[in-house]
Amino acid sequence: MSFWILALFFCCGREALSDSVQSAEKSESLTVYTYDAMTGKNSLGDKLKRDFEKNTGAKLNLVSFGSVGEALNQIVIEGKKTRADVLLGIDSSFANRARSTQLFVKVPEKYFSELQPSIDLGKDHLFLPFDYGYLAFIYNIQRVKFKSDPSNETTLSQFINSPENLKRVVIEDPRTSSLGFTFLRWTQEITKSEDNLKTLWKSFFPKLVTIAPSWSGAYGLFLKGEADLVLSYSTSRAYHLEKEHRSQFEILFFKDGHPLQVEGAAIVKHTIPSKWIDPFLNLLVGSEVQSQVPTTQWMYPARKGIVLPASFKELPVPKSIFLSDDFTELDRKALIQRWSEWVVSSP
Amino acid sequence: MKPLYLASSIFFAFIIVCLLFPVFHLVWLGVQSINVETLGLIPLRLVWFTCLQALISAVLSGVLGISFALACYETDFWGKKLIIRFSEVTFFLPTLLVTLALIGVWGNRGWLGQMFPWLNFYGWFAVLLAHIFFNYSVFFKNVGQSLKEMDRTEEKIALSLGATKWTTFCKVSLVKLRSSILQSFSIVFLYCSASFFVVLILGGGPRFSTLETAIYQAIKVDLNIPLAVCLAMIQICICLLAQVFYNPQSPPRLSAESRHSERVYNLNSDGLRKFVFWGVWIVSALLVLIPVINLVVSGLGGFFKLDVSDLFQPLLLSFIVGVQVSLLTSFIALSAAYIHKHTNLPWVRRTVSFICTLPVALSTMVFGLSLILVLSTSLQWMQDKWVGVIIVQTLSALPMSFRILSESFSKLEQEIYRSAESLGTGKFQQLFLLEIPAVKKSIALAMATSFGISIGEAGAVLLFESQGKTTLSLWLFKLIGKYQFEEAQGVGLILLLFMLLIFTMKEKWENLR
Amino acid sequence: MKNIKVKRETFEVVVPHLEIESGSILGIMGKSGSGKSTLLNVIAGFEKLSSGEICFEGKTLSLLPAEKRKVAIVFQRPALFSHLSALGNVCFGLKIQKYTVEQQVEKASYWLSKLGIEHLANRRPNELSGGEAQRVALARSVIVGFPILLLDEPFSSLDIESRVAARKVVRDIAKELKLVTILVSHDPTDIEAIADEICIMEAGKMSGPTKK
Repeated sequence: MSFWILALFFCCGREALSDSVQSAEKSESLTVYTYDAMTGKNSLGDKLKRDFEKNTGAKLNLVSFGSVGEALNQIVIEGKKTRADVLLGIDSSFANRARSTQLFVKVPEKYFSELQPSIDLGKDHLFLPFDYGYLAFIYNIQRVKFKSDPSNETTLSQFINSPENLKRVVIEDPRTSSLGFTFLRWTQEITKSEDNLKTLWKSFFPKLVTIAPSWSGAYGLFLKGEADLVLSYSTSRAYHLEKEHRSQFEILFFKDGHPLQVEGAAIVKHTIPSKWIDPFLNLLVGSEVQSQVPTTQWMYPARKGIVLPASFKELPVPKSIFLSDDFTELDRKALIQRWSEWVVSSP
Repeated sequence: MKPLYLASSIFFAFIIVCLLFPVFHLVWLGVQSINVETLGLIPLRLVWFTCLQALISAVLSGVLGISFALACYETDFWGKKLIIRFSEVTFFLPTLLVTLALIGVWGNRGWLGQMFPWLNFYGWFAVLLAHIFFNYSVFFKNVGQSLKEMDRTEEKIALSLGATKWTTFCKVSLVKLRSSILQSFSIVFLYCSASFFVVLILGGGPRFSTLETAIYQAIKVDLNIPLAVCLAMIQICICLLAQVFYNPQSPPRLSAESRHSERVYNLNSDGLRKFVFWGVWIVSALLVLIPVINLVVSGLGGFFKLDVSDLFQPLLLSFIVGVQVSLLTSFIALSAAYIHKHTNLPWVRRTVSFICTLPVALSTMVFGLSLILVLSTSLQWMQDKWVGVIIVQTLSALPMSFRILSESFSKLEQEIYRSAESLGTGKFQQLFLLEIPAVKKSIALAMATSFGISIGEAGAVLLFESQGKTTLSLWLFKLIGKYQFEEAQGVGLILLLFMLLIFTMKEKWENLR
Repeated sequence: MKNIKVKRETFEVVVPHLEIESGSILGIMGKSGSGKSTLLNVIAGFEKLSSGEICFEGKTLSLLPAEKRKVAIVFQRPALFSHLSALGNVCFGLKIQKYTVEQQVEKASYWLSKLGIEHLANRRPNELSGGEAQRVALARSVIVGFPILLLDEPFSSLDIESRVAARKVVRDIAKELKLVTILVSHDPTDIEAIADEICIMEAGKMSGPTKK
């Protein structure tokens, strides 16, 4: 009797575990690889899925990964057998690596016409931007005081060197977080030389509570009160204003500006020529979805002329720093290697 | 066919197909693409830090676990059962949850951390604390079990000759407990050397990188398979070294004539009892109980924010996967334990022991990747990715299940088999009529253990996840990823209750039989 | 021993009054499970009394922990320390009493020689026969010079020849050192060979002693 019950379990188990993606007819669906925050209830992905399926009658399969880097790696591993048609969420720090894989095709020019011209992921138009944000430190005014507006005279360098910030800051690890890596490049940009960069980071390490593996880890620590400042996006303040009606989270502005982090979509080369890519990309950069970007992604929409919600309107827009595009994968690895050595050798 | 040959076929077939072939396949792919540049990327400090933190964690876990085992075995005090119950569960709690709980208690704004502002929580302190939290129970259970089962005559002799309790413990008891201590040490060392989430979240940055985090980065971020393979091979070498301490002799068992309590140190005198009581409770509270309370309190708040309709699918899938993993693990572990008991060849015994410990030191990331590479080219039915999850989780649970069952088998004396043979029973009859009934409780424990490991495991599920289906642990991970910490703690509370339920049911079942 | 009571699950060990003189050997007989070993454990301090007291030369032993009572014990199983040689086992008690190494070796050699096992000094416990191991256990217990010696079925695992020899050795030593000796056995021939007085234990109740 026990044997038959067990056999039943295995069979039911098989049924319960059967992959819903495989059961879908490939030709009547579009598969999009993206990162976690793009899926789930009331996310941008959720909105895209509903609108896409309503408009086209085809199925949109959103496959989520821990980060866009992992999604990219999955496409590389799968190679020609990849199920992905589109990679959604590729950002500035992964763009060059994605480019070097030669797994993506150019996005047709027509999609770029309504986008803000300064918002791009390279002149080759391999990636279609859909949102962007400014890197910034967010702080809790109940625990620390700064002058928080763009007229602030503090530079990033001065902030890092200030002895008042001992053990108060949490940042993301450049090895595992694109935000963390963009910050590393930001410091590289402001110091202009290797020695200055090393000195800057050596003086920054004592200010760190810890180095978190991802944005969610860092922000979680910040909200728990473990750190007084966190590296995030300037638009994080809008989230707290809109969703939680909490105004104590402020943006620390730097006189010399803040770098942009742009996110985009890429078309996978090996995809079976799909008639659903065009409607998907149209939808992605269309005004309806773009108007949802602020309150789902908590980033600025890439499209021109989108009316921002009140919580965004009151955010001062910082001066933009555009980090250089020609930063290869080898450059990235070398920079991270040097940074790791500085961390290890610091007291 | 003799049961030994059947068990060998089952065990080695499973190991070759699901463990050795994928790993060798990956190593082969990696070795083909290894070059000087790859080798140059491996910093020695990575290996040094991996071993050092594992060594210190194992020693500290041992001190705590052995102290608790002695206290619980040699004294009666209020709340002893609760302490023992918690020790059963802590090992299986999801790492992510525990790290949140430890931060909630010991972090800069934690319940206790605020009282010690000079304490630099993140880094060494946090990593060691988390490792002790998870691993003291390995020593506690193994040494406690040995204390319960071993003959205490030597200790009595030593005491009668005038040796103090402390001298007797050091010169006599520790010698007899050496095997269980060394076994526990090697397991804890292996687990800590392969520690991932703890080091990633509580360590922070390259200074606290272990081989596992480096492998994770090499696979998931850099997609540098040759580097990941090199790092994995170093990890296997460390496992081989730790194996030196594993699989020693068991201490002499209680004689049939000894029917009474074997408490020798008898810590029930007033002064000592109070000391033990307060000592155990204070240390438990600081290290284990208060973080668990933090988990429950935070979890309660988050639980009510969860959408109940979202709960059903992860709960059901976790249960189904857990049952499948526990059945498969117990079956394979039983085969391995049978071989270990009945083979006349010492090298076969050692090989089986080694293979059953190997999964501890293999990175889930590397192993998962090796399975992905194999599965993507295999038969259609194998491409159901949950097969990958079940295989990885089975192998993760195999070391503990094998240990439970092999210990049970080792207690079956030769005379039992000889008596059975003299009564005309064949090998298969002995297996089903004698051995399996005799180790029934251990089978239940092995199943409960592997079920608990499956429920709390997130790494394999993360690697093999498919759209629309999620388990409780993956759901927890995703909630954290989506910045929904309260809901994450709510899911964590469900996981904790699930595990308490399993172990309570296991105990009730043991008592009934 | 006065008004000794030790509660067990199914019975109670009761000894209303018992006096043993130095140099005298008391034999306690009884079936397995009658409480003989319990009584020895209580005298040695491994189990607690429910009531009553045990005294020796004016001192109340029952208030002391086992390691302070100066009561040596030999069990049925020799229980030699497996990580020490025969010599190391015998020297163990002397080391506790802080004798120098030279003194330890001198005394241990004397006792090993007296028991006819000096040639086994460097052997490990697993290299000794049952009889040899039991002699080493006996040497270990008497070398420390404690005034009370308890023997819990020390001969039951020996063959007849070893048994006879061991009985003689035990009696000679107990008499020579004027020890208070209690021998527990379920075998009447052991008691007959060694004891001066005999008690019978049945279901925890002691009757006797009667002179042999």
